[in-house]
Amino acid sequence: MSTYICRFISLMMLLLLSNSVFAEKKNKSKSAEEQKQFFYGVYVDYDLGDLLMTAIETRRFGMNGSVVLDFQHFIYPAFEIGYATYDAAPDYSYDNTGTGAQTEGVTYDLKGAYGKVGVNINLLEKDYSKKLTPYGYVGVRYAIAPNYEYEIAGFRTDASMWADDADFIPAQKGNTTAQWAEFLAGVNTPIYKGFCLGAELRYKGFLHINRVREGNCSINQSYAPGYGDSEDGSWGFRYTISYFFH
Amino acid sequence: MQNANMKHRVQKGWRALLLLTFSLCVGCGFLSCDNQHCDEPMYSPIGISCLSELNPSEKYSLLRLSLLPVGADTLLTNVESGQFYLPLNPTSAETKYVWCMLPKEYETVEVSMDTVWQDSLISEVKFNIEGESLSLKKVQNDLLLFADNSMLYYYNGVFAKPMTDTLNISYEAIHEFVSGECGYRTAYELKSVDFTHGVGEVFIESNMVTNKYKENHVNIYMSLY
Repeated sequence: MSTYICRFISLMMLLLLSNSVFAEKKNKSKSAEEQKQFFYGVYVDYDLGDLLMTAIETRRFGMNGSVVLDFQHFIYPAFEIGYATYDAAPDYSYDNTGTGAQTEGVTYDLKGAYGKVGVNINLLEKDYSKKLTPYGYVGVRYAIAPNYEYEIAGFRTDASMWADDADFIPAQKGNTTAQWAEFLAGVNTPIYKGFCLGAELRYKGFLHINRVREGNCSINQSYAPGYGDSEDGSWGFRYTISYFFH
Repeated sequence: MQNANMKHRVQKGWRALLLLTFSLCVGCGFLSCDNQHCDEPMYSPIGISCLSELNPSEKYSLLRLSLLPVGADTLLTNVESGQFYLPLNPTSAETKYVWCMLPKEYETVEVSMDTVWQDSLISEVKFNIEGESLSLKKVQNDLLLFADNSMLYYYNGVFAKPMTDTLNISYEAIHEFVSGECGYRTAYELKSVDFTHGVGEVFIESNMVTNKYKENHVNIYMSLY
């Protein structure tokens, strides 16, 4: 529970920060309103959070970037693509051998590409006279990781009562597809010329994962590239560096 | 004008620094929240209820009931209440339990000690039962299990002969991959459940044995024993 409270406070802090740091004066000049454009430009960003995680956790590799369009400093349609690999075997902590020792030689590898599409809504005061302005937003994404690969091997059944019969479950290798949705809140601010830094919190939930049935094994993935491990909770973050083209 | 530009740059620098610090804090927070525990219930036992044949809505409690899984060195006792949960063998298509119960009208047996002594020391604990000398293999609660797999209950100060049968449970084991943390959990699709000698009448109420808490799958209607 304390974890969720901590995350909730983090989200609130992010929103407060976005308001206190980037809130602008309300007395906008009339001329600025007249300078309002339909389309201001395109942000192309790269997720430094993924890079950071890859550096810290050697068993994972991920990279993703997105293209965000700026319409009237209000609506920001966004398109993301990424690729991730994950060695989830060290996560295995359930002793199903009845011996008190963790099963050795377990493999749980995943890799694949993913895409996300959605929109951000800027909640901050708009300065139409500038092409590039800080913005704080909430948004939504639909995401899909199509046909990503998995390999699961070395797991054993819990036949500790019938000790001699304990057996390995046949290795499973295949592809599956996951779909999920994300709700997000974030901020993005110019730092130098066209370069910007951004940070966002994401709340995500699976919409559907194809369950694969092979023989007497049924595989329901808890991990999807771009989503991460569902056992690790529903929150995620992105920390981006972007360039604004106009 | 120059001052204004400088002020603007300082503001931008502060924004970036705040954002960077905050993001790193959030990132580290998320890394520390990495869950590496299996929080899922992984045990899928078959739920069995013993009911009275005369009054099917009534739980049937037995004087004594013990279950011995065939092929395992375990003895399940204290299941007299009439409702219990049994593990199934995930590597097999069938699990058999020796059903050992004490009927309400039980037959008593004369038992005498036939212990083997060697140089004033007990060499082997043996019992003489109806003229046969048997080694004791295991004692659990009131049940005595002998080397030849015969059993006796010690009940109300006398040795009593139990009624035995075999409960045969056939199924298809389905190994469900739960997560990286938990690995596989086995669910079972029941095909048939019966007794070899018909100590009770068996009815499958629900044929999917999963990890659902306290779910009942099989009803056994007992005659008046």
